[in-house]
Amino acid sequence: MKYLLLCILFLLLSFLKLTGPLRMVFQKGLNPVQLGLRDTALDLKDAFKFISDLKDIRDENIALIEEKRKLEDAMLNLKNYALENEVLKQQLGMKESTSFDRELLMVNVLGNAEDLSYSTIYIDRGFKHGVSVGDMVILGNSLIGKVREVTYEKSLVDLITSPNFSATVMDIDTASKTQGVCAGKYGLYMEMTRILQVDEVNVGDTVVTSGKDGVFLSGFAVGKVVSVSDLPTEPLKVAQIEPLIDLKAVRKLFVVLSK
Amino acid sequence: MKKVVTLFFIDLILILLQKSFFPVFFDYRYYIDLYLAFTMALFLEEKETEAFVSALVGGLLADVLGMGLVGVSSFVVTSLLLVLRFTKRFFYRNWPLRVAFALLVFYIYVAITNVENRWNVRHILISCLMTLAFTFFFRFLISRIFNEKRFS
Repeated sequence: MKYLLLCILFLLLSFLKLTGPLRMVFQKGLNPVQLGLRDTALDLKDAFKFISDLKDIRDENIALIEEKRKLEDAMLNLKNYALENEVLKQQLGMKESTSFDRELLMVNVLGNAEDLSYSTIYIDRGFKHGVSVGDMVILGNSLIGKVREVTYEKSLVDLITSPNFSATVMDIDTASKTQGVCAGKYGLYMEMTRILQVDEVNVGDTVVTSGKDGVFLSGFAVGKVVSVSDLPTEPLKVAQIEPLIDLKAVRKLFVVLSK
Repeated sequence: MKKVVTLFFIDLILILLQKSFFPVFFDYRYYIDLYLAFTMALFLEEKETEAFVSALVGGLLADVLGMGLVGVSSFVVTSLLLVLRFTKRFFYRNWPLRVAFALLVFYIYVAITNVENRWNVRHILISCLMTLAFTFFFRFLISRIFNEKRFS
C-alpha cells in the first residue's frame, strides 16, 4: 500500500508542476543515450535490410546508373537554362527574391515508441533552444510536421501523417495549381480533400504547402499523389498522398523557429 | 537500498531499450513493454517487494522520459499488482488462466497509457503477446539467477 501512496504523492507533485526539474535532469542526461540507441538500431536494421535485399540492390544499382546518365543530361540542360536566366535577369534588372528568411534549428529525432501509429515523434530540443508550439519541422524542402508540445529539453512533433495535422496545399504539377486541404490519416498517409470535380489532380503529382492557412510557409513539399477517388456522383474529389520522405528513418530534422 | 539501486538501473536499461531500441525494428507498430514484463516476472517469481519497487521506480522513469504526468505508469502498474495480489489464488490456478489474465493486465495497462491508439486492437494485442513472451523469458532468467545463488 505504501508504494501506491508514493505513486499518488508523485502524481500530486506532477499536478502541482513540481516534477519539472526532475524531468529536466533526466531528459538532459538520457537524451544522448536514447539518441545513440535509436541510431544503433537504425544502423542494424539498415544492415539487415541490405543483406536481405542484396539482389534487388544490384538491379536497382543498374537502373540508377542509367538514371544518373539521364540526370546528367538534364543537369547540363538546366545549367544552360540557368545561364540564360541570369542573362535575362540582368537584362530586365530584376532583384533576387528570397521568401525563406527564418532561422533554422537542427534537431535529432528520438522517435516515439508509445505511439503505435507513429504519427508523433520526440525531438531533442525544447524551449531552452527556442522551440515553441506551432513551429514548422522540415527536412530540405519537405514539410515533416508541426511542434505540438514543448518542454525544457524535448518537444513532441505531430508528423504530416498525424490525424492532428492539416494544411492548405496545392498541386504544382497541374496548370491550374489545384488547391485543397491536406490532413493526416492514421499515421500512414495523407488525404487531400476539398478538390472540385473540375480541378485536375493526377497520380504522381507533387503536392506542396500553399501558405493560405497562415500556419505553414508556402512551397514546402508535402507528398506525392498515389491515388485519386474520382466518383462522378460526389461533388468533391479526394486524393491520397504519400510523404516523399520515409518518416520512420529520419534522424536529423530542422525546426523553423518563430521570429 | 542496494536492492532499490539495482532495480533502478535494471529498469533504466529496460526503459531505454523499450523506448529507443526495439521499436525501430518493428517500425513503431508494436511496443514491447520490457519494464512491465520485468515487473510481472518478479511478481510471478514470488518476489513481491522487488516487483512493487520495480513498478514504482520503472514507472517514474518511463513517465519522466515522456510528456505525460509523472507517476501515472507507476500508479497503474502498482494498482494492477495489488489486484493481482488479491486475486492470486485464481491467477495461479492453471496455465491458460494465468496467460489470459496476464494478457488482460497488459491490455489494460497499454490502453490506459497509450491514449491515442487505444482502439488499435491488433497492434495492442500483438504488443501484449510479445510483452508476455518477454515476461516468461525474464522469469526464466530470474529463476536461473536465484537458483545459482542458492547453490553457490
